[in-house]
Amino acid sequence: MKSQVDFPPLKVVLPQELRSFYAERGYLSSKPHEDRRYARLNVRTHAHIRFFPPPALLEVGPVASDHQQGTVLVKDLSKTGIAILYHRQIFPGERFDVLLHGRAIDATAVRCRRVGRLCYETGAVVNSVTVEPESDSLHH
Amino acid sequence: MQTLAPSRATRQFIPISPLLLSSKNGLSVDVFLKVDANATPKLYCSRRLQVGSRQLQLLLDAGISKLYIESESYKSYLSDLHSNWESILADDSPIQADRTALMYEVVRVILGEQFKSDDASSIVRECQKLSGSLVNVLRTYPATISQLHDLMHHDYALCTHSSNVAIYIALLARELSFSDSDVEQIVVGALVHDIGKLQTQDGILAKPERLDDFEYREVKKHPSVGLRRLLSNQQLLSYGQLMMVYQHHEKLNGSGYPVGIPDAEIHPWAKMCAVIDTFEALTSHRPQRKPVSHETALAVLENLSRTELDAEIVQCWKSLVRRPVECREDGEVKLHFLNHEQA
Repeated sequence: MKSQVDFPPLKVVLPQELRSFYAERGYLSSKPHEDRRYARLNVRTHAHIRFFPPPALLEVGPVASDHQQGTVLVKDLSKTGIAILYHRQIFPGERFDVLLHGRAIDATAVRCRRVGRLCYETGAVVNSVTVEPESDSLHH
Repeated sequence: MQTLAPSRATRQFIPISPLLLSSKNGLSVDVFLKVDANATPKLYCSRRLQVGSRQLQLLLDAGISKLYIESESYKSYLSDLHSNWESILADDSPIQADRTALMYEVVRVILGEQFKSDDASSIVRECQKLSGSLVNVLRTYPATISQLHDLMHHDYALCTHSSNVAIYIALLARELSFSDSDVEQIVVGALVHDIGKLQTQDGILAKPERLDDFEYREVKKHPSVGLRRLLSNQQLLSYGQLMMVYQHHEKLNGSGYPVGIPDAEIHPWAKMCAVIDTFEALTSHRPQRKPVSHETALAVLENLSRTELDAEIVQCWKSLVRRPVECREDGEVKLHFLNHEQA
């Protein structure tokens, strides 16, 4: 598949506390303070990520020197948001596409939290979803 | 129906620094003086009247540290300050020893007004202008931390905290041998490091009791909110400055927020900001507690330097805070050691 050749391999290292990562299914529970509008579904799979040119202000930082595409672990999805695991931190405001099941999910990072070495969880708001037949996800 | 003009007793007054009278064009508002703490302020200087440096010195020698303007004149006063602050700071003719106090007053007032405007690009542009003047004054008129501490305000207003952090960090950055251009950038980063708190409810920031979990989570959002606000503007800040905003609550052992990154991933400017931010918070009034002395604050920093703060930066800051005062009087240099418990 074209995307499997072009995209760098997954570099995320799952920490011990996420050892059941692939086994978790169904909807995630929410706490009242999270103030969520839509339910989140566990979607545990590999996918490709393409970063938009970074915001001009971050161009001199490590973002610019890092590759502009890679492979992520998708954690969960809702109608308006997506959570992914990546091997480096993604800054709030960074915009990217996650290529998943033949669709490009255009999203902007809102928050990022380090879960372990080479494992950062990023929450992002979905800007739009478009069909992208050429670049499918890597199903686990 | 008859409308009564407000009587003198009901008029409200706002304190200002006497040093602002040195403005070349004078102020466009009437300035009042209180002869004693409980007295009603009396007219001291009519609008547009310029006060000479000799007269100003007499005022300061008499121990007058505050003059007053009427609250309804505040807008005109701010407008004066906005249009004249660069010339006020550039004019070194009046009282040289008080230039730092004047600079501090200008930075705090301008920053406070900019924060009220809540316009990120305007805030950054103004901070860039303020930074150059601030660094210039600190370079030309060296002052110790304790001297600066004495002239600073120590309330928990955001503009006060940000101004104090900016002034302290300018001294720290120079001590760490950063170039003048880097110091100016670092000062801008410090002035805006808490810009994300403009989105936090005042009720939370000023709450006198301990914050509950929800409130603490809200406060912890400010680095991310700040970064997003600044990123939405065009090329105003460098990467290091943005990391001061985003990473100043990160800790070397990875227990900080918003990301929890370890030592190697924290930008050096953010590490400096973390040390100064902690010191300033400890030595200022907070809704939940009283300020501690410099020595107590340094002991806390020393303790945190084992796990959370950069040890070299803490050591450098300690040496700066404990540095003896150099008073230049008639060309003679005198050394004094300050009583650090005074804070």
